[in-house]
Amino acid sequence: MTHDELAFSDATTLGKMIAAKKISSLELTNIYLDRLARYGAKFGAVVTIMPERARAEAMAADRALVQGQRASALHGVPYGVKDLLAATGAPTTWGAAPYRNQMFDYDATVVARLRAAGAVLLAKLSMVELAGGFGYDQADASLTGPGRTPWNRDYWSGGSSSGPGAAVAAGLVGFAIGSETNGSIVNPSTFCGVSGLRPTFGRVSRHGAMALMWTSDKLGPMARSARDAGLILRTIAGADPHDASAKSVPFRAASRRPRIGIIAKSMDKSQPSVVANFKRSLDVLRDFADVTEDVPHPDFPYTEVFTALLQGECASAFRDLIESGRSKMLRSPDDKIGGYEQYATLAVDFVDAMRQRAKIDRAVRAMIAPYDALVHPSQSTIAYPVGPKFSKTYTQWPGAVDPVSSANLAGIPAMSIPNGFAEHGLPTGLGIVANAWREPQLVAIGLAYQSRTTFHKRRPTL
Amino acid sequence: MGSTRKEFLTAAGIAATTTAAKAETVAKVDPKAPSPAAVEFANRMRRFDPSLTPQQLHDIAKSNDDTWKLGAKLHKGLENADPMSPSFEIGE
Repeated sequence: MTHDELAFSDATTLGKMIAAKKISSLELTNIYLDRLARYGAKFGAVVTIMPERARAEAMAADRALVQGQRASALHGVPYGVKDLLAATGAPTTWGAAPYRNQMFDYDATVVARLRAAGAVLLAKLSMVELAGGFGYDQADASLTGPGRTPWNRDYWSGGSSSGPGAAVAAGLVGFAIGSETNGSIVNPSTFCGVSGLRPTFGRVSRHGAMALMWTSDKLGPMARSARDAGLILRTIAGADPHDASAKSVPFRAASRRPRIGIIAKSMDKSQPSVVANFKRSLDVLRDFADVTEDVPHPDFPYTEVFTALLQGECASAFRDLIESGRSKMLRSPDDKIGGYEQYATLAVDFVDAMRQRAKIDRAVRAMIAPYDALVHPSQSTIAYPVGPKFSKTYTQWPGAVDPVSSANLAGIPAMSIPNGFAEHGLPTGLGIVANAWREPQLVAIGLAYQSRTTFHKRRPTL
Repeated sequence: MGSTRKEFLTAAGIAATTTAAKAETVAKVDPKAPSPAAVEFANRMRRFDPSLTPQQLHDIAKSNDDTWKLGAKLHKGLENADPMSPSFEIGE
């Protein structure tokens, strides 16, 4: 196997190869460190490469194997994390200039769990500053500049988990950990053509992660296959004494033929190539699932509810930054003033939003209840070009009904897997949502889809 | 700034303008200009950053008006009996 073939193998395969001693963790780590140094900046994907820590963890993994100790299926597999997760040995910048030198003397729970599983931390990966909490409107909204999708550098890698998306797509890491408050895993997974899984709220501890919106922040895997995403999620999930919101809930898989619903109007006002790829995906799904069309999406003021909650929580989370006047150090013009705009949020609106959220939660769960999962085009367009404002781009395709905000408000899990390519060589994605704690259904559907397609195995030309 | 929500929103220029008299008043104002209350609230942000430019303050003010319009949709359909949950949790 060539270095390129190794770099683009999925984490499950890499773990098996390390266990079989076909390659050492240190050899694999050195391959990825070299690729991170060579390509990381090209895609705006990396904040800090951590060679010393990575090699020390890799050598420890190799020593353990010699002693017959394999901690998990991810033993020895190198990975990266979005730079909002604390890890010793490197700054944790939150993607933002005011935090450029911020250091933590502990590992986030997710990082500690992966370390205990024998995985090897390679790098802190780029992200939109403050995970996009201040309302950015262009790709160039990060300490490290715009993230670029490896499929076409003129286009954005998505956000806010830009670096994890690009690094997985470019074969710079074995897998990555991203975060999502309202689209930040599924969006870059789509624009980079990788398999991203946003877990149920509370599935994964957020201890050591930057807070943006306490009632909606989730951490999850971004990987080269649905199989990997499921494996990584099981490794990082579970209750944590440092995070009261984290729970240990069993992973229960359904054994019957899946029942899948298509969200009504989810193809409206979308780019034709996106719709065409989605329709082809449905043909694949029908091969192994019973598919029902036109599942109505309940009507609620999702945007308003999310805006009120995000603004209130985000302004509180970053109150020190806002009141220090250092917002002006942020990169995006919108982010420089976004914190001040959030100060206008009315307490009564925040309370009304929480009351609406309870209704949304019930309605969204009821919508999905008859099905194992619902599907939709994960984004209504291909990636945005780097440069113009998002709000001025693709105005002819304003987007369809999509469950990103409704599902995030309800705290339910979702996945985006690559389902084809479109204009400019850019990938499109199949969005899948399931009810709370039903990630195994998402993974099973993703696995069945990927066993019948090869989009997830394609590699960009770097 | 008013002491009740209604007074506050009226001061902000975003309460429903259903009467002819109000519509006439509104017609004389540049529809793209932020309300005086929104401008005043934006100007208060100078205490955090005195270097905020007039354009930035204008943008903040316009956003303030948008934020104060959220309530019209947020309260729709809510009844007194609908409870408030101060936190969010997913049951098992």
